[in-house]
Amino acid sequence: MATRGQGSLVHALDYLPLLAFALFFYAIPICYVLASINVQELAGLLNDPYVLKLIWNTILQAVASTIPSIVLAIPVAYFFANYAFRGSKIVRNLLLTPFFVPAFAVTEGMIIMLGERGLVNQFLELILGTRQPVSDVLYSVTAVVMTHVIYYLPLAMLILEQGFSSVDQDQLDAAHVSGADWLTTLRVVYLSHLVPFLAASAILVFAFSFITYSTPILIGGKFTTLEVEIYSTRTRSVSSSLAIIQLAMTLAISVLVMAFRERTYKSSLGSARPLSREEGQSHTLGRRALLVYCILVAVIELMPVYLVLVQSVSQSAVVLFPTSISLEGFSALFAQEFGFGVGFIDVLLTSLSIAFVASLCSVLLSILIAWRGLQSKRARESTGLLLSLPLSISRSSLALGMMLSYGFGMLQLYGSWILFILGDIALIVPLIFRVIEASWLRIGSEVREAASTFGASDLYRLFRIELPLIAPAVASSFMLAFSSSISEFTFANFFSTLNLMTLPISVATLLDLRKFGPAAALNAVIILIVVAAEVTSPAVSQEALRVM
Amino acid sequence: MRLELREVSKRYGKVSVVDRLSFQVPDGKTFALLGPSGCGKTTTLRVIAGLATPDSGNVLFDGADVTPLRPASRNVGMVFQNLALFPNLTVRENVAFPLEARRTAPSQVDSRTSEVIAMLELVELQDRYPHQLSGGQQQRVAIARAISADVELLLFDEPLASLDPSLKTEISEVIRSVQRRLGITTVYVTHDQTEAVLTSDLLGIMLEGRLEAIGETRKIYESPPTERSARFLGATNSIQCTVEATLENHIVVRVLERSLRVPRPRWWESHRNTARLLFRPEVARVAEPDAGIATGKLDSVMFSGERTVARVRTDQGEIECKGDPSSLFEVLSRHVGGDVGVRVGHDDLIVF
Repeated sequence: MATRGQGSLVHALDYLPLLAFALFFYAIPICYVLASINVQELAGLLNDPYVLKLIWNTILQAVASTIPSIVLAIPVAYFFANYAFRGSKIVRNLLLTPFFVPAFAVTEGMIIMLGERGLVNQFLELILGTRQPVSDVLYSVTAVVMTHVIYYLPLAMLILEQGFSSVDQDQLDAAHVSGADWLTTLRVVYLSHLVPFLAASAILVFAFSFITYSTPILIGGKFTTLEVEIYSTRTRSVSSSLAIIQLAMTLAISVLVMAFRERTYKSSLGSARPLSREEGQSHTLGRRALLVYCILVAVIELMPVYLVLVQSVSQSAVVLFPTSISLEGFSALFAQEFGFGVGFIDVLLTSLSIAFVASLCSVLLSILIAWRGLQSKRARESTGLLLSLPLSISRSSLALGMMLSYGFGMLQLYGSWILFILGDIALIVPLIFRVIEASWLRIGSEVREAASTFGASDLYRLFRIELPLIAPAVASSFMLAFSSSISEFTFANFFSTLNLMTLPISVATLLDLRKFGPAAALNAVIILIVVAAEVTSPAVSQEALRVM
Repeated sequence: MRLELREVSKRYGKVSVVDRLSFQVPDGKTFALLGPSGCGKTTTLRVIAGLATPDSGNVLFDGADVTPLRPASRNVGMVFQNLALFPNLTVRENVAFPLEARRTAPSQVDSRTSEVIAMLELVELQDRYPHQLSGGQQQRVAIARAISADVELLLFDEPLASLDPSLKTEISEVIRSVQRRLGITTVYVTHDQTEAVLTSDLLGIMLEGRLEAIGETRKIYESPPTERSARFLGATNSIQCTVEATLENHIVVRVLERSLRVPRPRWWESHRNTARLLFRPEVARVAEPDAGIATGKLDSVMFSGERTVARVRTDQGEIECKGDPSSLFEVLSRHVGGDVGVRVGHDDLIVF
């Protein structure tokens, strides 16, 4: 017979998997970073003009990425929330594509697009009637910002679309019946609903741009950010000081995101009567203009990924439509050595193995955390809150911490693929936990309570009722975890050695060597794996994007 | 099994949901806990099931304190408000679940499951999944699952709330027949007085976390012990009167210069000079101005299917009359605005 005291112990155990995860994957690595700080050096850094400029650059590029992403996403979100036409789902899904493709693949597409002989220059030369390259934005902050806009516009669009969709149809009808013109309707109905969603999308795009890593490394040229600088100085003590500054800032942003989510955003997701989408062809000029705009945005969004795929099968200069197919890029991959005797097959097998093990461990750990976290309302809230923190935390700082703690410190794992797996688990669990938890919550507390009332132990209930019901979400989470792991760049960059590297690092190596053909071929392989993983779990994309 | 709650209290934050609640349900009886939404009746049921832990007080099964026990250890069956059927299990698997969860021998699981499935007339449906069943069929499965194991206590949490009226009657009969056949002590929570009266031997009226009245269902319904419980049971009309005499079984009251003998409640104090008479709209009929227990102006008359609903404005407030058949609608409509009386059978008056 369980007593009340034993009941309290059981409740305390509900937090154990979460605390163990937080301790092992976050607290210990961060403690190692803290322990390796030189306080005088840290104080000096805060007054160092170079570091202050670095912080300013990081903030500035994040702001510069956020504003156009939101502004450009608003009409698209409005359109897809209000109108449906034959093929609208396809256009919408195409538009979202870049967000589901690794950032470094989009970045290579931008390199192809913005290069001297890139599409942008070809277009400008055609218009201006010159044979000299007009645009010179590649390898600059402008290229970084442009890549971010391409990459984060779909995220902003998804959140804003949710905002437009949550506008109460009854309120809109009331405004129309009252004779309100479109401006009054916009001001009175739309704006009041949209402000939390605008803020939410802005905060998120800012947060993700703030911790950008692969984009400035690959396309930023001399432009650098704090996140990149932590990597560049990783063998020196100054790296830990920079990491602490970055951690403090990203933690503040994470807290801001969470506070906003709890206080404003969630309450905006009311139970309003949903908008009745207007089916059929767009008739008015405004709607047609919007449709043209959306198609144009979709084309621009798709262009980098398209160019990578085209480049992978065409070794000629940048073209929209290749006249002949060449597999030279792919065959060059097999001849390429990425490290000391590390060939393409080695890299591929290493990446697939790491992704498989990391995904499996992440899914099992997420199930365990979600299972115990769902035992009480308090445990569920604490778990959700704590696992929201890492979503926009500095990956470079965490990677540095892991390198110091488990790479060289207590576990001596540097050079081992286990370190890659640990890094992946740290990043993936907070992401897929949300998918699994959401699926679990959909079962309904009454079903869980019913099982307990009818004599089922927690374990019997888990295996007989809960796991079968969340199985589709578990499978989807595994695929999401797999695609996240296979395209993970930051940790891989910190942990890779000349004997052990993953696909993203091989892409970076090829781009460094200006071998765009093989790089595009390798990116095509990664895109294929990632898209295959995501296509097999269509429900997961929406869940995973519920970052707010 | 005899169920007893002793001084059970439960708070959610600063809100007291259940306040020092005590009652007993004798072995084999069905107790209906009736109350409006938010009165704490579902929380009480969850405390009995072990799904909620009381802040203080105890739950006793046959005198043994089960308060610290987890739901799985209490040996209760429950029909949930939203049924909570397991969507991944067939009807048969749902019914067998409590037996399997209790690690019953497979042969017994099989025979008992078949027996219960036959009892609830689910044989044809046993291989279907919950989503392939109608609302009434799902209710039967939920009841079958609740009784399949040899439970000592059966709990119903507003099981008919989402059903249409015809299904409500059918499922009420199923519940009653199952209860009679098995003789399991049952607690039935509802906000619907018809449902409560139909299914129970004992009735408790719960208001604001406290038990306002408890007793045999018929007695409580006919003679609610408090004015609040009477109003909750539908006696929403009231008039003031003076008390002329208190007899052994009756009270003589004076209304509109007329003396009436009304049933005397057990708790009545003989020294009182005034009283309030409560009655249900269903027992009140429109009458001649000088007849009945009240007089006033006929405010409105509405047709409501079987009945005519009339509102009479008196100097003591509005009285609703639903006792007249619909055939009188035309006649009464012609008197709107005129003086009328309100007639009520003396035995239908509840005195406070």
